[in-house]
Amino acid sequence: MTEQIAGKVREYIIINTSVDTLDDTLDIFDSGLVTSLFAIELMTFLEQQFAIKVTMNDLDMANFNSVDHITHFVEQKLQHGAA
Amino acid sequence: MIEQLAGAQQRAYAEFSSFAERYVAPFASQWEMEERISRDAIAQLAAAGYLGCMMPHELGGNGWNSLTYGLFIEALARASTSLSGLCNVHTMVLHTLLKWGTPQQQATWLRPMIRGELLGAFALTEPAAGSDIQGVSTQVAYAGDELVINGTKRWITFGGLADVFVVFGRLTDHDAAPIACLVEKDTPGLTIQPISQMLGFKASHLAELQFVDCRVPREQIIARPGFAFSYVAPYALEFGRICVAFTALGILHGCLKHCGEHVLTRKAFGTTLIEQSTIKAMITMMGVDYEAAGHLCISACHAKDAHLPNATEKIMIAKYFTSKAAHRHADTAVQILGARGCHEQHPVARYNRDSKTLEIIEGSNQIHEMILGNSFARKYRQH
Repeated sequence: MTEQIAGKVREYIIINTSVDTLDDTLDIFDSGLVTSLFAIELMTFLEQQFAIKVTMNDLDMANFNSVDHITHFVEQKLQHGAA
Repeated sequence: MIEQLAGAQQRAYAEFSSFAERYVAPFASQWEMEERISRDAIAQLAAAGYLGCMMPHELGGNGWNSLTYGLFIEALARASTSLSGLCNVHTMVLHTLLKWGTPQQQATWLRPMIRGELLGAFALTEPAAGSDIQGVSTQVAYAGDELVINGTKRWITFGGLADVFVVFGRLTDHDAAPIACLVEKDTPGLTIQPISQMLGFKASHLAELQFVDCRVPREQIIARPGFAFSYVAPYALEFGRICVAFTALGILHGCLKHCGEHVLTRKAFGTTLIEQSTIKAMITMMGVDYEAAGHLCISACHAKDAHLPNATEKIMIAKYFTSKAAHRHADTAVQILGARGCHEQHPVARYNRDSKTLEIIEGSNQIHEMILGNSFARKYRQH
């Protein structure tokens, strides 16, 4: 499950950036790999791909800044009923 | 464009067009001259359920998808771009609250706004900060259970009429974290000054908002501090760009209607204008751009309604292309109509003024080029 989520997230970020590989621990925002403009697209991707809903309580950069963190966030959302 | 729509959408579009022709078009020029929209028109919008755009039925909204919203805006903007501007800012505030508001904020604001009893406006732009929202400098300080706001917002669409604002600023500490909060129009410390004599959108009740030690309860923070510029504003601006794209589409449609009628009936040098090759070329380019813009706008809405991540980019493409085309062809329309098109009260004169504004608002087209240029280069690079 974890690798399935990570794989989809990793693939999505790679497609939308200029890299061929991606370290799952890399902070994609602080490293400059993506800009803040990517935040809404990433949020929409996560909501659509995993049928979750990002709400105000989820707004924490630690949830969105690396493949590892995003994967953990998605798993938590799915465990707690997605919404 | 209409043939691309499903039957239900075509019927909705006919309903919107009928509404605009009956309640909006006859009064639009008067509103522009008076630089105000009548409360009657807003009441008509509310009575028809048109102010609860894309809000869920369970909250009393009209439950539209973004394509239906776009068709509504297209029909409305053909009659009055200023009135489409009201729907734009009101819708942006509604969706900000629906997505990021606390349960208490949603319970307080959504239903009265959907019913049109209260109007919302989006207070982001400042004298020194427009498309680059990182330049926003309005100061927000924590003071016990309150926020204290100091700063100036300018060019706020329907700022002179709205009852509640989503205001963006920066915290005075916490690394100047971006923050958004709700401010009611009668809050002490907030002064609202109308702005007149604008080039376009003359009836949009533009205003400057001055905040001097303006205090609001801390519960009026929207979402979390730190995310106002990266999540709250961009989320709302997607709805804003849909509205701008379809407003421009409505202007293109209006140009075609007025020019079509004119070139088929007006004679010069013994023939109707349409028989002349230069006029044919003008109408061809106008019509082709309208069709192309319609495809882009509809495609963007399909992506938005399917909740696809590329909706953000498709909406930007639609806004960019359609607003540029609208301004180009509004200029052509004035040329074709000649002196009558230069009269302030003729719709194509209004289209000409308003379409320039569309190239500037909801992210200038130059900002769109900065973003889309990078995206296209990356997407289509040769490996």
